[in-house]
Amino acid sequence: LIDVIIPPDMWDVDSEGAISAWLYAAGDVVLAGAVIAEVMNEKVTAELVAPASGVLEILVVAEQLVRMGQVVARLS
Amino acid sequence: LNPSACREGSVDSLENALLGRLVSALCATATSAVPELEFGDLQGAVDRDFDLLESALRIREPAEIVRIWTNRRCIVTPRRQLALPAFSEAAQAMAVAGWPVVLRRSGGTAIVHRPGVLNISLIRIEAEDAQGIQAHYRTFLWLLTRACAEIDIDCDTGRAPGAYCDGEYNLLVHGRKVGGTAMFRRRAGASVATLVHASIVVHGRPARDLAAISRFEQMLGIRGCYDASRLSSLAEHVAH
Repeated sequence: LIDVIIPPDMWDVDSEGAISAWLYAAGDVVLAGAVIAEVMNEKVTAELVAPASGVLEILVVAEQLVRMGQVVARLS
Repeated sequence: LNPSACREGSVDSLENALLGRLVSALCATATSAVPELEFGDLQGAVDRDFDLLESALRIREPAEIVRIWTNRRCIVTPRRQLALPAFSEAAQAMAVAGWPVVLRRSGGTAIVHRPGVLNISLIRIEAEDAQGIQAHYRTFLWLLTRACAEIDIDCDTGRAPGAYCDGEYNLLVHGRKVGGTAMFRRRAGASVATLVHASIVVHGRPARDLAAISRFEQMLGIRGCYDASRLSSLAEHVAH
């Protein structure tokens, strides 16, 4: 299993963001480097990229709050 | 100012002259700026920011693009709202009411585009993430406040509680919001592409804009707590 983590430098200050949208469904096969979700902090949207290829397991649903460094999905 | 920018809406010549002066001031401040004042496809005009970002990112060279543009009347909302159960019905109702809804990929909440609202987009491609998000915002707002100063309007930046799509990086005149900003970022290897864009209300009726946004958001089930007195236009602050 490979963790999908909100990068620790995705935004400047230590505040919460939210997954705006998952661009793949749980169980989908994703390729390394694919944009799998959009994350919003304040009024900034940033893209979350798959660190490896695999089957996506979503741990944090859209609109739920997240912090930098948090594991939000897994790839198996 | 391209005369086609005045094709829609009923605006007087002084107000259009103000818009033209702001465009000139922006072009003088950002020498690479490209004015695109033709009204085209609503969604296409919004998507062009992201198309420019993707094209510039493919070259993998540091780059900076400033686009100055206008759009016909519509509501522009983040595409995350597509997931809301009432989105399709709300968008249809707003289109019937003369406010078609288009989607953007940057953050924030619903705003309006229309003649009288000037959009400015700054796209930057960097070899590495040398600047943080706040630095990009500050650079962009410096450009906007300097251009406004050139046309004798002193602007501040900051929050405007009660304004729609409020955030830390608004453009304010006497504490009232005249422009909002939002950002989109993409990484490709070590390169980082940043789009930061603003919509500045040059003239027109901000209270009418707010009424349209409030109606749309109510249909989506979003309860915004807005105050029209926190909104303004640049034209309100110019002595004719």
